[in-house]
Amino acid sequence: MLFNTTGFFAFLIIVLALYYIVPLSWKARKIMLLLASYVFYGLWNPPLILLLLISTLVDWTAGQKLAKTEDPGARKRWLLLSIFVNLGFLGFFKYGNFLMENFQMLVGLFGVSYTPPKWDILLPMGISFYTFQTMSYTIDLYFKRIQPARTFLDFALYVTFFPQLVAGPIVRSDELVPQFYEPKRATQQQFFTGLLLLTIGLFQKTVFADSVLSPVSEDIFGTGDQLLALDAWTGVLAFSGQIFFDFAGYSLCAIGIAGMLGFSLSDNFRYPYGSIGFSELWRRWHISLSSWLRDYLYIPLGGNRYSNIRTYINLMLTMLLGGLWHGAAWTFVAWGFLHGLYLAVERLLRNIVKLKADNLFIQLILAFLTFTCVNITWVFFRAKDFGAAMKLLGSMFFVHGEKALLTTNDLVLVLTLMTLVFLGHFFMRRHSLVGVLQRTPLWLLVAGWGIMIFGLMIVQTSGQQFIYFQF
Amino acid sequence: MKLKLSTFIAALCVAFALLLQYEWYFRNVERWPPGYDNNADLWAYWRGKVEKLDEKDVVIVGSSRGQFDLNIHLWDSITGRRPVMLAIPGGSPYHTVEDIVVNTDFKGLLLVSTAPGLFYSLGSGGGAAWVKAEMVDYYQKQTYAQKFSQWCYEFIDPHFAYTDPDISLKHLTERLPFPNRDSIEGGTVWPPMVRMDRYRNVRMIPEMENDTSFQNQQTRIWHHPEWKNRYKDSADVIIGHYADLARKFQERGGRVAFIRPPVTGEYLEFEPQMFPRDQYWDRLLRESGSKGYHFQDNPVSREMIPPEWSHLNRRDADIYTRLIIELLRNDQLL
Repeated sequence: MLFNTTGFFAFLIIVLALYYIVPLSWKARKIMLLLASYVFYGLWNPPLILLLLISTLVDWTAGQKLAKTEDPGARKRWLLLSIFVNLGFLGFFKYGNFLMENFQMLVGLFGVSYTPPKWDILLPMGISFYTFQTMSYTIDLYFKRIQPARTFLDFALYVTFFPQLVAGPIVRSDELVPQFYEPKRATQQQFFTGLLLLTIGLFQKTVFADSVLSPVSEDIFGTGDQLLALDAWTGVLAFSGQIFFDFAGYSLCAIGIAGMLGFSLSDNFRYPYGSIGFSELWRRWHISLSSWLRDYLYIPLGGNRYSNIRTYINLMLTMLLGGLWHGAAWTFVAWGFLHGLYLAVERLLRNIVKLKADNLFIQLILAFLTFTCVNITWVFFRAKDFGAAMKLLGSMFFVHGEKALLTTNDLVLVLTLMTLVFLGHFFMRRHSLVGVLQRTPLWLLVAGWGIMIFGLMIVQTSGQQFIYFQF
Repeated sequence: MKLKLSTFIAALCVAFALLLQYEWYFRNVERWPPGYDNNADLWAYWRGKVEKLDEKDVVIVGSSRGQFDLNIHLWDSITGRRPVMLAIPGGSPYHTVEDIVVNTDFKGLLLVSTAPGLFYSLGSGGGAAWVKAEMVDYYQKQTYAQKFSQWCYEFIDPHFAYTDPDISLKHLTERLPFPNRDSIEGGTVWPPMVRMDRYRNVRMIPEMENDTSFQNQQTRIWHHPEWKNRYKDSADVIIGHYADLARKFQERGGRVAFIRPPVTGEYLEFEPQMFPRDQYWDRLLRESGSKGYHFQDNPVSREMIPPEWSHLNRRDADIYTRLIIELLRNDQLL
């Protein structure tokens, strides 16, 4: 079920009514939330609920065993079982075809002709999110960083909690599970802040991402032609904005809906396009994934505890796998490689050049440089293959390009919006959205909220899927 | 500041105040009628009904002429059966016919409306490929969540004009007045033309029937080369495709008939030049072994004048519906 559909609103109203109006015990309300989460997921494809159930059962069992046994061998086996099942699901459903294609290519290099059967595998929505989330639970238990969930119901709800089930944030168990122990009821402030965040998130998704930016990025990335640099850059900027508004919008919706139910989820985006440098970018973009990769991949690999070379290798490996997490294609790996390269170069430069960036203008220049480099990476993320990516990059850097594609209306809208996004992110770097909302005068807040609700009513997009659902 | 219920209610009041003016403007100034969206969900709903039809039922496929020029409620009142309307504006029936013949057991009458500029588009061509992706495949993959959303949306959609996709926010941005570069064409700004009900029965609105400013706005769009005769691909492949499917359908007891609804203006001038009758229409009927009713073969339909060259007004649509029923009955197809 998608947040940006009328069906979801009916669903949410029913859930809120059952949660707040019907007099149920806390346990019954949690069971209701769990069932609602399965309905939320199952209305897309009912049989795939089985995957969620298996993941839940395996990780609950492994977690219980890890909490009780001290035998190192047994603990390792239970952890491996959890990782094997979760990565197995991910590998089969998400990377099955990719692995077969690459195997075919590899054996082809040795003159062996092998044509694998074509698998028509359906990618379960949000599988990358909930598998990472449940894996973090067993890994944390293995390292004794957390306490196990008290009941199966609490754990099952942690795995399937519908606001963040299909596109994150990837919540750690110690952040969410303890919130299930005591009855929760949102305060009026919490409920309506949640509703406001839901409105802002939906506005970002439907008005900015789907209505203004998506058609332009589709035009540019869909054409096979060589374009004028202006059109090529505008298309890439449009995608840059689209993926931000789409994903940050979803995260805001998730945080908002959880808030309406009385739960709190942490930020997933903090004005990433205003970042100065790439290490800051990754502290602001998809925070729950970057911290997951840091804690469960980069640090276990050694992090920066060993030699400089080893640190760079760890950084690059983490970003390459981070790229692959996004999609089963080498273009995503290239996207990760570029980010790894940026991070490595930034680290190298920081050791050599001692730049004092306390001047606002210099900060703005550095943020713009970062934003520009990020946009280049999005070409590989969005292009259907390397040929298309290189052609678009050629157009962006004046290697070739004759064809104009976009209307002036599109150029004006995208360039204006993305200039505002960049400046807005830059000047909001030290602020939080909720903090700003709390300081906003009442009349302005009411007008802004009303205009956003109006925007949602007139936008008339056809319930386009969130981009990150496919990851 | 503290957010309270009163804050939200005030915001809702702002939103509804804006919405009321917005609705009023589109309904009373631009004359957009309230009605159902001609969207994939509603199409999928009616496509689902085909599975349960019997041999006395009728399914209409084709493009906008098939949908706008036949009144399925009138058809129902005359024959006792309301056809299932699966014609799609701007789309060829290439994949819809294939879907019905291959994926269903339907054995009734399949009435295929032809508009040459769309009909003679290959399956992978601009007139047909999107129909497969956005309609036929959508139906096959439609989720319960999408069905549920459509069910909820139908409580709102028919009562408002502003929900028409042609005046979505995206389309409104195309009206911004910035001049384009020489090689760039702006988006198409459509005038309101029809109103559709839940059965996908479409009727022309009085403004388009009577107001020349509406008609001129529409004929200016049709005059554009992109719209006049949009697609012309291999007749061999396309006619072969329909002929194969028609034979298969007839073998299992189904009946197929083609119609070519009336046009006027530049369509009347250019369609016969681009799609000579003997090479297209006559060949289609011959190779598919099917009956066909060309508007120029009948004195009544020949004299019909669609207000904007391509679609009939309500009065003529009713006459044309009666005529098609009569012709089908004469040929014992109905």
